[in-house]
Amino acid sequence: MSDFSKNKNNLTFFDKVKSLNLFIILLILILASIGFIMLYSVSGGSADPWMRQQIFRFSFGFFIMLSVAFLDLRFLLSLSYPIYFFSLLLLVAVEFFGSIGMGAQRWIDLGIFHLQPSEIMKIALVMALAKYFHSISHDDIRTIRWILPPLLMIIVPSCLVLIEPDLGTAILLILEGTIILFIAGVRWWKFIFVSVVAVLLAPFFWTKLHSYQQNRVLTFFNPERDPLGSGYHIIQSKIAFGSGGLWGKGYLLGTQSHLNFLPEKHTDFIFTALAEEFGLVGGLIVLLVYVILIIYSYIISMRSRSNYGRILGIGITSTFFLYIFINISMVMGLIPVVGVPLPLISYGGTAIVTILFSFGILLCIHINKNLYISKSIN
Amino acid sequence: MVKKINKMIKNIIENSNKDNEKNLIDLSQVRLVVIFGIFSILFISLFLRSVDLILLNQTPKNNFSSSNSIINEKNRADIFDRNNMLLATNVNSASIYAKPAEIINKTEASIKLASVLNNQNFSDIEKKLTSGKSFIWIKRQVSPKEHFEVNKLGIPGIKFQEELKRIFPQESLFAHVIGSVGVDNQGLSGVEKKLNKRLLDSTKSIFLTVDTRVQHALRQELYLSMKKFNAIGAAGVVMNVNSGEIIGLVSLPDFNPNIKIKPSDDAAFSRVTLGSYEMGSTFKPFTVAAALENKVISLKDGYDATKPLKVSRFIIRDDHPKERWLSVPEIFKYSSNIGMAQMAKDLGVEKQKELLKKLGILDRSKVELSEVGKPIIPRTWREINSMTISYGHGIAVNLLQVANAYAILVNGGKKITPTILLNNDNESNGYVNNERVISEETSKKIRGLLRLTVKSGTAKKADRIGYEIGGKTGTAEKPTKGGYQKDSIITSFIGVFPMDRPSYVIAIMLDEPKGIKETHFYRSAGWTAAPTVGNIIERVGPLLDVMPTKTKNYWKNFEATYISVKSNE
Repeated sequence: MSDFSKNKNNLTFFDKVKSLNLFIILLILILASIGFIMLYSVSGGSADPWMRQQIFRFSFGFFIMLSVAFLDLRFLLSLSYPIYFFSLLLLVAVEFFGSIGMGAQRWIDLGIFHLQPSEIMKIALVMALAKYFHSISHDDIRTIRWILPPLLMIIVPSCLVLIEPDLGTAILLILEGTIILFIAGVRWWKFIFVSVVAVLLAPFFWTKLHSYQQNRVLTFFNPERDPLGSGYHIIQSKIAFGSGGLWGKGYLLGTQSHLNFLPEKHTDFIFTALAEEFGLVGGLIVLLVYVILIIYSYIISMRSRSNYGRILGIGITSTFFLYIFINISMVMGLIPVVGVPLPLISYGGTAIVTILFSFGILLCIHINKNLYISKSIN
Repeated sequence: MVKKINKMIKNIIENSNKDNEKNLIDLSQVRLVVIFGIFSILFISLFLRSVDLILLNQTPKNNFSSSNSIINEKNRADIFDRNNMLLATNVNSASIYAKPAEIINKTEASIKLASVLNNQNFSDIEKKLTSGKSFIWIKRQVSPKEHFEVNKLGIPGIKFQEELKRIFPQESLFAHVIGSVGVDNQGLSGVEKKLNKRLLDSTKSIFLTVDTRVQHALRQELYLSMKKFNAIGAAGVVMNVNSGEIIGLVSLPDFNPNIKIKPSDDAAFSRVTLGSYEMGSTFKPFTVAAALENKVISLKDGYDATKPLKVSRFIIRDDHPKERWLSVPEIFKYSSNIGMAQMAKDLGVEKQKELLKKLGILDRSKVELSEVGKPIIPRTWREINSMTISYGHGIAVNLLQVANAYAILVNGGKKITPTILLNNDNESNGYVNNERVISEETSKKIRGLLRLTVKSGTAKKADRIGYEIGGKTGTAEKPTKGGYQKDSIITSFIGVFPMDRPSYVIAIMLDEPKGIKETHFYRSAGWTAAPTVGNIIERVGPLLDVMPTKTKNYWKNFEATYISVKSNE
């Protein structure tokens, strides 16, 4: 039974352009520009080595975003599983062919650029889960039998990422999977049950963590434990953060970041550099832009008539939130240091392309908001 | 897996209906609200944390740039003696601290440090390094050599802090005058403690009334006597009788303020100002002065001293019994307790108290030192108290108070208070105040009696040709629980010179002197304290511009006038 004809689904390219959500695009441009401005500053007032490269990558990602936005949502639906399995394959491949960067095997050298499969998995997982829950009925969700496949879909890539090792992404995958399970309607007690099991198993996993990861957690609880080693990031970040004051030291005048006290200032710790130069007010404004973008994305997701669109949109937005929250609470010393970039602002190729790809999906969901997709596919 | 899922999906399609879809949307709306609520809380926590880090928590300052700053930024003012001799100043010195977390091999570091630092052993250093603290002092204010050696070791995590160190070039000489300063630049005792605020607030130097040369002579003579008589301690003070200026002040044993000592150490205790003692016979001039001033007696009167005096359950005896009637000068020079007690009885409690009060005996001294003891005076002052106090028992005061009281008695009766600060406003000095305590006439008589005691009484061993020394001895048993210890005594001598124009009072005290062969195993003040003062005066007289004198006219007149009673024997 095909419902395609019932929906106003045959949108022309022109229709799609007309219903493109310009507000989302505007917010993305604002955040990306903040990123360019900060990259210019942390390199000591120079477009090289980071800003020029970032603009180039952003442009590429922006093109991808628009391309994805104009796709048919049903096409994305049909691609969900293939993309997921492709990512899974890449994750396995990185184990064998990955080049080693920053002490972890996260990249695949494709010649032209380095691909980070774990980044792709973040979207692929959401897509696959959205497709799965799109396909099953409300009653099925209540049975354990139907929950096992999505659990496997979450756990397998998480474990692969964990052994890379990339604790941050692994946690992110588990969290975004959990959120989708929750949104899809899996019953409360199951989450509680899994949480309890997780807590009980924590000591076991602790021993499985890399010593540098253990160090990060231990140092998080006591940064002074190792002020020049693992604690250095947190201590310096807090110092730089606090030194900004209410209004900041002024653009290009941040000392802690420019004098290299602050490590990874262009990637994971860019928010600290921002807070140092623009102060509490600057930091809060950036947070506010993020909040608006997230709320707006949730609204778009809920307006989608299709289950797939709704779950996918919420999953993407939640992942976006998790990125922001983990990164900012990390640089402020609220959680241990895990390598999660600040979306749209941090320097990093795969990250910005993946984020823009996911916002392309969100734009696509918006364009196809009135599209009803039945559970039967293809 | 895909097949399996597809199979499941086919099952679903058959069961699916619109109601189910509706439920699912409602459910996910509720769930989204929950997630959004959680996210909001998380976002609020981010906001709060930013405010906390930026506005509230200003402590994590960059500690990497502060390694050369000085903790003791406040420079203490220098201290000089009256002749511009430097007594206390500051030098830059390094303190060594450790950041144990940065030290790679703590045991090795401890061994190396112990090998170059004085007075530090390996286990103490290792204990510090492994204490789990992120910052710990290894040694404060080290010598330049130690600084150099530790620097040469180049141990990561061992660092230096520039600090100002207080230096006392005269070492222990002024231990109980200037006191000491702790590593944190706070005065711990003496002038350093009493004037701590002034020394920190203004870099203007402070000049003391002390004279390093006199101080040295005083300390050396006291030290020699202390050793000679196997005393456990000694104390002495030299004071200008007209201005109240303290020229020298020594308490033995003393300490080197450049080296840290425990406050409980006996050497940290000032026997001059902090210790209150029963002074014994050195109190007698106060009684005689009060009696003369109130015209209760004249120098020609006398009292019966044939046998010990019974007062209720007490028996008052003489140390040098003459067993006859004694004139007032004889009572004085032979130090008769029996005579004194009767004189006090005639004088009365109130008049005795009045003079002691005016002499500053009954109140805590206001001298500019931090260790000043409060006199111990009887709560109820009855006639019996009055009688024992007349010869210096039943009341405990410090040596400085006695010296000051003597100064008043001999300077013509003008009120003075002791001071250690040179050129202070002088208002507290008798000079400006000009308040009279006793009459010029009484003062003159006391001077005669003091001179008489040295010339022909108990203090003959204090006499030195040309210095016209006058004074009074005091020998007192040290009190113990419920009585007196016969074995341990305190001997004192309060000397004044020159007697014809009194300029300085020298009060000394020996704590538990023992009899020696040279003194025929006598240990009383006349044998121990009196000669010590004679020796001191011989040395400090020239330094204090006191010319030896040949004239003895003054004494001829005095004896002719007052000592005529002697012939009545």
